[in-house]
Amino acid sequence: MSGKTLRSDSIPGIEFIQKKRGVSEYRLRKNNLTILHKEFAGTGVVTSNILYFAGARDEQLGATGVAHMLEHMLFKPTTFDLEQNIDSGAMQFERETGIVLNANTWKDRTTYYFSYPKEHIDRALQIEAERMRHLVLTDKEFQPERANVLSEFDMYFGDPFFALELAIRGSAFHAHPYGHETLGFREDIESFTIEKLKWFYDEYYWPGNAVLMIVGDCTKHETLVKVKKYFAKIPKSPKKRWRHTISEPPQEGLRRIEIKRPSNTNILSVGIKHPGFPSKGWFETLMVFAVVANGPESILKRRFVDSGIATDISYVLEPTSEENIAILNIVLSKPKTHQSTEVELLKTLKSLKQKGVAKKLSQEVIGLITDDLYSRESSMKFVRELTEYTSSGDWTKMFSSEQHLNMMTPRNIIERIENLFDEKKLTIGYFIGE
Amino acid sequence: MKQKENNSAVLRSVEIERPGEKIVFFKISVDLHIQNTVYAEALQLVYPEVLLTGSGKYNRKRFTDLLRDIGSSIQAETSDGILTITVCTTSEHLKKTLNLLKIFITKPRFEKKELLRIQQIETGKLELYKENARSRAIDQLRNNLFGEGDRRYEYEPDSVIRSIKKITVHDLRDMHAHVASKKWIATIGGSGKTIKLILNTISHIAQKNKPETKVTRSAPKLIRGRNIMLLNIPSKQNIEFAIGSNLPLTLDAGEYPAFVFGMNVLAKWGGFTGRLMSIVREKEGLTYGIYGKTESVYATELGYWRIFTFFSPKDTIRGLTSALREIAAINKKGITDSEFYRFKTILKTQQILIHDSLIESVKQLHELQTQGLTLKTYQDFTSALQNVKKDEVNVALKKYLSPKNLVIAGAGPVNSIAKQIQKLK
Repeated sequence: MSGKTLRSDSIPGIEFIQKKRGVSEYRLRKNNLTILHKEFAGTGVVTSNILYFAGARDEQLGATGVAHMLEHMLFKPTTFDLEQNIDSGAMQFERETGIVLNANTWKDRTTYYFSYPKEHIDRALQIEAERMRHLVLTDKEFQPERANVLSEFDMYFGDPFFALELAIRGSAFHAHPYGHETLGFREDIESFTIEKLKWFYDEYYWPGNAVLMIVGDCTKHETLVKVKKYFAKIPKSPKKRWRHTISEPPQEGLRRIEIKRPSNTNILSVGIKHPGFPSKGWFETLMVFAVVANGPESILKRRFVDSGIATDISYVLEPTSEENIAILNIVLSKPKTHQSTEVELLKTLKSLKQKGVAKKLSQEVIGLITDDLYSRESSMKFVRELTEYTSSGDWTKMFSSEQHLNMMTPRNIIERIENLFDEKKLTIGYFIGE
Repeated sequence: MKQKENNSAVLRSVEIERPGEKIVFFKISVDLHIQNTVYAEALQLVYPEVLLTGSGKYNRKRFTDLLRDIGSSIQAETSDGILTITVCTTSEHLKKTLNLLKIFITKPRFEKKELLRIQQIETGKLELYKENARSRAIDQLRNNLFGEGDRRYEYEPDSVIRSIKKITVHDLRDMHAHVASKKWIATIGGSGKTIKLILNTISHIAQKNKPETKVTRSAPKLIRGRNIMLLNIPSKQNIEFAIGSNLPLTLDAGEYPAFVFGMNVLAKWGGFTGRLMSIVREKEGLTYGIYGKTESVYATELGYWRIFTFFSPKDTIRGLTSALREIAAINKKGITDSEFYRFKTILKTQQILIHDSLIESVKQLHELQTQGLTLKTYQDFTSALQNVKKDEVNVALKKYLSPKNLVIAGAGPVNSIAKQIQKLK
């Protein structure tokens, strides 16, 4: 200890990596588990969340949706649960205490969280550690859960927006796994086997492929001691994890799809390829959508909703680490007006000038910066945000989004619009109600 | 977070203080309900939207620009006859936001061209609403429980569309005068300094109001036997269900906490702890979600209980049979000792977790305020939930959760199995 001051959070075996805006990063040396901590003192509540770098993009054809199916299975028993005659430690935790639990799977990651009164932190971490490597995967647990996942699929597939997005993705991406929906194809879900799930689990569910986030009313020291207690005994993965990279071949022209169903609803959707998150290009894309489609005073709402051509305009833009497709949806007021609206939409976007977007840009920047304050006001909301930045590969960029936004100019927006709405990036979908 | 209540002749408010907080979030509500008619329903859809289209010397664009220039928002909507204005801003921009709020409330422009625009937009939304199976199922349930005139009654979309077209600027001004004459309810979240500023502003505006006018209360319908209502919406994959019945209890009724406790055991909203989720979903794999709760129970009006779920057409009969079986079981045998002790903890945890978020705390307390709970009676209610006895819960379930006298309302692709569903009568 030659003249160095011990950090108040020094725990043997846990290495401090960095700190930014109240979030501290550590690494558990034994197995390379990454730990993120932020304190929200005095609330009495803690949210702990574990993210695995495993999602839809890691799936192979014929096994789409396996990451999501496995997510469901993480709420089934572990070997420890069976020893104690419990059907599932995680579910028992909820049943006995009323804590909030859930999980979600997305393109680049799967994440599991508990939100609870702070006295339950040990139990939460213990369950998380146990199910990382000790899940019992059997047909007995799997078959009824597959029925639930199929039920979930049917719930979403009935929605015209979902069905249209599914079809647009499939056309937009010919090689990259972002081309399939995270839920997977129904046919694949029906053909899942335990072996497929086991393979995925053994490939990706390791400490070195995970980030454990603990946010809330718990001190750093307390948190690190407990993390070490429950996670240090988990070994490293015996092999180096391989995450495949697949390049999407260049798109050479506009692509189109059509869905016809008995319905009153008619939708024009435009799928637009955009840069990965959290790059400058992604934030410019976010700003383009905000300027053209956010709020009743947005450019497209004034043009299409106020004039009666459309009932509503919305958009979906996901924070994925690689090039993805955003969807702009226009719900049409009248049937069979898809084509004319498409022409008018592209004409409107191409005619935008810097002067026309300057005011909107400054308003949207302020709006998004304010939204960030709101989206980080509780441990649960903070963790949700932190998850997306962590999933993209660099959690510290959570605190540089404001910088990106403030640097944006009207010229950036116009150039980005020209770039995004190039025909070679577009896939257009019509939902036609019959 | 510190909570405090104030009550005057024209304003009742609850403050939730988080020291040093930068975000400011508050809600103001006014109960507009006198008697529900199709015209009143149409007016309540249009009024809040037109309210947002210009105030004082500012037209819609200018007013919106002034708000967005400071990253603030003011939203308005009505639900079950209650108008709610929601304001989001930061402590830095609070004063400017409050100045805009003052103009928003006291000097709406109600321009004819904006009314025409909103009429068109709301008509479009209602056309889409016709295929919203989940909402249509709930509407059918409520229309079986409450008569026309009750705030819970929902008129057919086509009749509301016809009424929307008849609304005039004069109607909007009358509605606004009605808002000004009613007592206001506010729930305010932020730092101590911001709360004080907001209270001063709202109190100053509210002082111009007159005391409350009397409201006609309607009696809910008596449900005998199982009423099955089905609406065919062929574009959907699943059939959405709203199952429920009247609950002849007000918020301050002694049996209400006991019934709420029992309802949580059967069907706790959210998560997997309720019996219905653990059996119908987890064990039997028949649905992705099945939850229940009491709704629309006021201090002065009776409400109802409702179970929400959905099934694929092929699983509908088994799913409904399963759900009805569990309702019958809890009605007949009540809750177990183990469930009783578990749910005491579960409901206590719910109260702790709400403290994680200022915004969720404001939303929850405001909803309860609009139903007629004060901060004191809310605290009494949560205390009553913790102190309820198992026998009281079982008596309440036996009395008010009858599997024989309820409504099953479904919407979706029902035609192929309508006959089999009707056999569940």
